[in-house]
Amino acid sequence: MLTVHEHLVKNVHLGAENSLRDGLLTIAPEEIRALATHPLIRSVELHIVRPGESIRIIRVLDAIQPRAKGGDGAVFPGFLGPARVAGAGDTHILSGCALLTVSPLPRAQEALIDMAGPGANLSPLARENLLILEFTPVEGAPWGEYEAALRLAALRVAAHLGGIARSAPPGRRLRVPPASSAIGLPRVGYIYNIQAQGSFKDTFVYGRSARDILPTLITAGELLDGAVVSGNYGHPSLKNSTYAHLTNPVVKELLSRDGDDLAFAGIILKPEPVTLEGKELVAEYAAKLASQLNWQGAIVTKEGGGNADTDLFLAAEKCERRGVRTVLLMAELAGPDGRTPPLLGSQPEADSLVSVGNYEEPVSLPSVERVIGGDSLRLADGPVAGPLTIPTAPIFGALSPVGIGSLRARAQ
Amino acid sequence: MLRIVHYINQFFAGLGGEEKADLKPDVRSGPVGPGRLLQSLLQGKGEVVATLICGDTYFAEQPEESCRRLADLLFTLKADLILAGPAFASGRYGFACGEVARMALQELKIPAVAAIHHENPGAQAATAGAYIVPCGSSAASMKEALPSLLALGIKLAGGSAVSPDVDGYLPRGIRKNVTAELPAAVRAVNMLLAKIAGHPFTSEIPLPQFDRVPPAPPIPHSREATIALVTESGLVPAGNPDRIESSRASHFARYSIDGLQAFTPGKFESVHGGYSTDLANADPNRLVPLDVARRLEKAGRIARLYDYYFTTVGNGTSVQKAQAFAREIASEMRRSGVQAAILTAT
Amino acid sequence: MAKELEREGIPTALLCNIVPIALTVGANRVVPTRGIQYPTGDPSLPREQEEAWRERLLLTALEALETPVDGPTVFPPDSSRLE
Repeated sequence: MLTVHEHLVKNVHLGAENSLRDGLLTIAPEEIRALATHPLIRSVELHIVRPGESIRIIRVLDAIQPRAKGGDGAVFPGFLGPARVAGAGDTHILSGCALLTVSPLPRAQEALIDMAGPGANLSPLARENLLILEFTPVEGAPWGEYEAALRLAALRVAAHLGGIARSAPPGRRLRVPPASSAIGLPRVGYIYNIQAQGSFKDTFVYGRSARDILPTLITAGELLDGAVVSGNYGHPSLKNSTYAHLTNPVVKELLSRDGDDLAFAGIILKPEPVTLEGKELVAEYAAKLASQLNWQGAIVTKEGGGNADTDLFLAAEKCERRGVRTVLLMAELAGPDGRTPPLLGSQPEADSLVSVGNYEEPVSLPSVERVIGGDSLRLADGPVAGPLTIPTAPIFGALSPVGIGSLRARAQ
Repeated sequence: MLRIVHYINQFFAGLGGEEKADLKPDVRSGPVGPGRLLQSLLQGKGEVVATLICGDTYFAEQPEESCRRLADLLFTLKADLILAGPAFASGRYGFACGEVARMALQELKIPAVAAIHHENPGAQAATAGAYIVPCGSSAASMKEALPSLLALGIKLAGGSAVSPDVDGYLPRGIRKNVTAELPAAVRAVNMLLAKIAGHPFTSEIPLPQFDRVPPAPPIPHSREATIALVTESGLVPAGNPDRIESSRASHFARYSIDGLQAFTPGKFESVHGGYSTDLANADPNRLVPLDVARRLEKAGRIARLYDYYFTTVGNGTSVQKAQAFAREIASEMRRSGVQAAILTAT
Repeated sequence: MAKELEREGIPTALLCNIVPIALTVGANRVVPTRGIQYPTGDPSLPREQEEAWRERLLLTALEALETPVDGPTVFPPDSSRLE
């Protein structure tokens, strides 16, 4: 059994001593800098950014919701502390705030967050108080090693911030059982596709790349403790940041309705292989698990672009054929004017789709007072603080495949 | 006070039947024919200030000229809204109404709606972007058709958001981002529970019908053919001289392979952002098989490899762009005597 | 793009890994490859064998170009992976 203690953060500032009081999180910067030290990191600059401020953040790599264990053990097992199965005990989380890593990284697709204006409605991170760690690499640092160093530093800081909440008065408490005890209700599970291709497009489970795993069961508690961490710098609006793994709305919804109108029958974590043979295998295997566990239905989410749609549709096909009904969440590639046929490749079984928006729809962003993360954008000409017209695609989390965003597309 | 202009044909204007179908576009002040019923439905919210009339045959034979004349007439009328039809099942009239509605909306930027029976070929104007409300197949349904035509028109003229689900018009094949009323996860669980229980539900994304392209005739034999190498893998000379984007590529490029026997690692690289490119960069012939293609050329299995290869990035590329690239590439191929293509995709 | 080139009259052999998408979208001459990241490669093989695989793919592509087809057709280069 995991007990989650949720502490709401309403404002963040830097100060002499760490504390969380009445929603105000005070962070002592020197400790953060110490945690973010590494031979390959030349410098880290701290920024605090709040919803509504006229600030544009570029070169966003990952976002993490801070958390820490209440007693023994560590969050982000396999990165902080040994890889021990997580999901029990007490975990303190800070809601209303997130940690963001920002850095140049050539292999990363350009990612952006506007904290105010029309862009702010599109990035779920824009409604959080953000502590931004802006990293610069040491000259000549190999990018793969530098990226690993950033990730470790950020996870340390996230756990450190979570630790501040330990001694704060308790917020909301949520009990997360390892399994459902509901009887007589439809057994509904979640097939959770994660993109793990190796270098810069990876997802880690207990610290290991999930690239070649077979689908496996994982519990909500393990996810909440950070067993799944993102190392994916592909499509910023279509990838799962660590924040998305930690706050997964599909998991939350199934947990909250467990015992009401469904029995939350489990989560299958499933990779997205790069060969068709691999995709067929893991889809079949996941369907086998679902059917073995007597699931009547499965929500299926993906990660990534058009390639991952195949994984989604194969999962639907294999599940439906075994009598497990499916509903798929996906973003649409409907072209800048919304007129391109919305799906690329489909199976007849993929007839229950929930839209998280059109990837390519252009959005006009106004100019901003301040930019964090760099002074030029690859994806648009003109000054980075100036007005921009860009597709929805580079906005961090806008079309989140697990639904942390708020977009959908409709026929017009 | 909404200024409405109504478009009808010669018949509904009371000017005659087929014998008057060659009438050129003309304008009358105020409502005419069914326009009077429209006026009475408005109840002071607006006024049918003018009626545009055109013969169905004239429009069908000269649609561009007709639209030009109608646009000129509209210029002085300062219309807030244009309503066309109802055309019921009349083919030429339906075509005219659909076209007028589309032209007014897209070219004149005036809100416009037409009422056409859904099986009338003129209703296809919906997929070109016109707002078409379906109506009955004969004038017997006039009393039902006019209110629905008016209702959507008033909403559009007022700038309200509309959608086929709510407002009943024919799908225009256009997808638009909106803020969802419920989070995706909630909608997904609701949909799944409905599906499990056997209750009706509506999928949010329509499944596409892809058009089939008749295959091009084969080449008689590759020994006699000039073949070009094409790729979507994003293989470019190191440094990406033409700055092809790693996703949503805006253009393609061609690079010379004249005299090149293979792609050398380091001299060529992939800029595709959709996959991990280490393996490909270690040997770019894994993306475009130049080394083996040259061997086959030397052995006479291919008469000739075209001197250039074509490249772009197929990562989030829209279908429209892909079509545009292919047209240009094909055009060059035809000019240069290339008879077939080998296309590698990632 | 393969479909669009065919529409313009250029017979095109498409080498790709995710065959179901290619067929649904309507590419007419499809040659399945072994991996997304290496359409004309197979890094699991030693160099010589990888080149032999590449040659097999290319010969299959040529065969596809020489074959009249009625609609989306798959030309498998090899059913055995033991080459």
